[in-house]
Amino acid sequence: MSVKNESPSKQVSTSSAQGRNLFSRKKKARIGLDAINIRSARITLIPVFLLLFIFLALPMFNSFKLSFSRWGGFGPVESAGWTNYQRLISDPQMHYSSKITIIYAFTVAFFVVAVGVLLAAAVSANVRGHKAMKIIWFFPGIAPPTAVAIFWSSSFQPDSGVVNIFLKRIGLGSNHALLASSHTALFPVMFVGIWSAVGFAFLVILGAVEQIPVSLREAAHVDGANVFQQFTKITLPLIRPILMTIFTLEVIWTFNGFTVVWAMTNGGPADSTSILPILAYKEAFRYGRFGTAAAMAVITGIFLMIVGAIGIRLSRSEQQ
Amino acid sequence: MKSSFRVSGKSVVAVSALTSAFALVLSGLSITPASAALGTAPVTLTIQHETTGDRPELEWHAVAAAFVKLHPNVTIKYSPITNEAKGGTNLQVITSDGTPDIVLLPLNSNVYTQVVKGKGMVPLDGIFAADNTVKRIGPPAAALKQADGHYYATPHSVVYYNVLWTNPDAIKKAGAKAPANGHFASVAQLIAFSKACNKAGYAGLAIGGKTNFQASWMFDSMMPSAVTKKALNNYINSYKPDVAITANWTDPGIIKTLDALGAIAKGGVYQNGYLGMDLDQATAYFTAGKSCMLLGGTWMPGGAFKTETDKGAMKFTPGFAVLPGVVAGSKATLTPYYGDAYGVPVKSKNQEWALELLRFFISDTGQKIGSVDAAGNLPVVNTVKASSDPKVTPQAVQDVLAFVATDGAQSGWTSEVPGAYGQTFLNPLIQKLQEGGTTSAAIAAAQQAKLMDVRKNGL
Repeated sequence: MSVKNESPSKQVSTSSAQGRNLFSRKKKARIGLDAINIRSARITLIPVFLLLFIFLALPMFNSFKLSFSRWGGFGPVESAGWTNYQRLISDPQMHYSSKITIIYAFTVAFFVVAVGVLLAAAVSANVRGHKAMKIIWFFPGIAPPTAVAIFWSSSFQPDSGVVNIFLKRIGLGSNHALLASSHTALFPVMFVGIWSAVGFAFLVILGAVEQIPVSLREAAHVDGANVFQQFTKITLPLIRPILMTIFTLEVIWTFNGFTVVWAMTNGGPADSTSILPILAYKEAFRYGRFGTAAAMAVITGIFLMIVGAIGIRLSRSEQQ
Repeated sequence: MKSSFRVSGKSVVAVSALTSAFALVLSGLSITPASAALGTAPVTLTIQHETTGDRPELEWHAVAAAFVKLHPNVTIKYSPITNEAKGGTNLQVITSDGTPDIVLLPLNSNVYTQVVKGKGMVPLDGIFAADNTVKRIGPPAAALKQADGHYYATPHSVVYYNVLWTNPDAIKKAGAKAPANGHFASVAQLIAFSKACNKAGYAGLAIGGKTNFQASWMFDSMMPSAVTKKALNNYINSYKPDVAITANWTDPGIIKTLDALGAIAKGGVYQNGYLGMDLDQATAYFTAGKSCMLLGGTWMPGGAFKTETDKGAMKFTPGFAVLPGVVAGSKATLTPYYGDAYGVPVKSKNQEWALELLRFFISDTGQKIGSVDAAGNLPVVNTVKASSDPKVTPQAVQDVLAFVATDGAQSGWTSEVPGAYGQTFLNPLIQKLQEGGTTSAAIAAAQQAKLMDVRKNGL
């Protein structure tokens, strides 16, 4: 392993040294290579920055500006100062939606990573049907979210839904209307969120697991470590940076998720599954309060930036 | 300098005649676009219509075919839109440069509120002034006139909602007693009826409780039975700051109506899991014979019922009933809806042709061809009658029409007021009430606070 790890850096340093020999400072200065490279780098970066400015900075700035305005989606934009933010801070629905969005996002992300790790470990250990598992578990990830939501929404219906039929088979009754109660509607939504996201996480984690040299596990085996110990002492620590990255990404994606929740519950019953993106949609398109929706987007964006920064930081420290 | 200009008597007459003719043409143009003046250059019109509901695609296809026959230079294209988008993201479509020439405008949606407020629609005054349209549409036309004196949208058909479609076979098997005159006499009678259905394995009433409209539909039907006409009129109009508030949301009639809705939910009238079902799922539940009744409307017999009957999945001929009144001795009514209207956005690139087509669409000819014969709908104008042919207008719908003719119908509050103040706001609160998570008094207080907020800050 050590040889394998060292060799690329050695190659890099060798080639760098060769590069330095080939283009000595004197030579580079003579042919103006640095200047050309810097200039061409700058020129080639212009389109990138332009695209970033148009598609990222400008909309972000507009959203930020809109969050201090009163606008119904059409016509003149009126200045509103901090009113939108003040309204959101004192709005009980905003408090509730923030709470359930955080619960929803972190729970889904946690289980996506957990299930992904278990599946990756199983496939990596060549359990029976491991080749088919790779394909089967990836299918939910490529299915259109709306179709997924409609399928599961029907499946959770009492009596006739697949879930209830299954529950009846195992003696738990078929009368469970989970989507119809404010207290339980978020659970099926979380389940579907995990089900549809786990395939991607599984493949990435599997890639990380398979990068671990077999010799390490063989050595541990020789030293008497069982499969569980190999998994917890070797595999998990080595893939932890990837797990942190996947977890962070899943939190962000789920936090911003709209389609599955909307198609399954419309944010109901009684707004009980109105996560922040749904609340923002309703504010903008149902109530015509684009300013408040933009303020919501700004608050969400800042929160997710913090989550992202912490995730990157943790991922880096794990790598180190 | 001598003027060479001489005016003869003949030329005065000629100029007067020409001026009069020109004035006539101009006045005609100000009333309605004259097709002759539109020319024969090729033009493509795009029409937006809903993907489901009262078969708008059939209606438009038929009218468009007749229109193209009259104007062969016109080509018609269609831009379907979903039920969800028509009252939401459609605002961005209508106000964009790529807008269809004729767009769908649910009158109780935020889209309509905003485009009217932002002057995003072409006034349809010419269409309403021509062909006696205001009189032909009747009272709903008055509601369409905006505060600035202009019309911006025209309805095309009328549907009745809050129809309780019944399954006579299930009712008979359950031994439940359907009301003889069609009206449930009281909430208690409705609950007793549903309990009998439940005992026989049927749900009492199937509703799409998950939708953003069905919970508040019943409020539309039952509330007028608990308040005076004057109060109802005030509830419909008091969100406008210039209308004095004479009826408060915390008044006993509203509380009683909400109490009745809560009691119906608590009494086990609805199917299990109704708050997790949309209207399509509830309809499928009913057509599969699992419930004694379905909360629906007059578009269903020619739509979902026909489809399911043709497939063999629906094995009964539906009857209908009406929700109970709230106060003893009062009657709830069926609710007419004129709300899915059409208009021409100012961003349309073919405004004159779009106006011409829209005028044709609600002319007697257009209504007969489209709304009546092609879609089997009920025309919005009173000068055209619904078809008496059951193949065109299903018998169940004709029965409803006969019932309305004798028992009357009352416009619904959520259909009349902007959604941001009405349906969008009230519906989740009623869902919460159905779950037992809030009280009638709390909802009434919230709606009163909303009224004050809208009056103060606008929509």
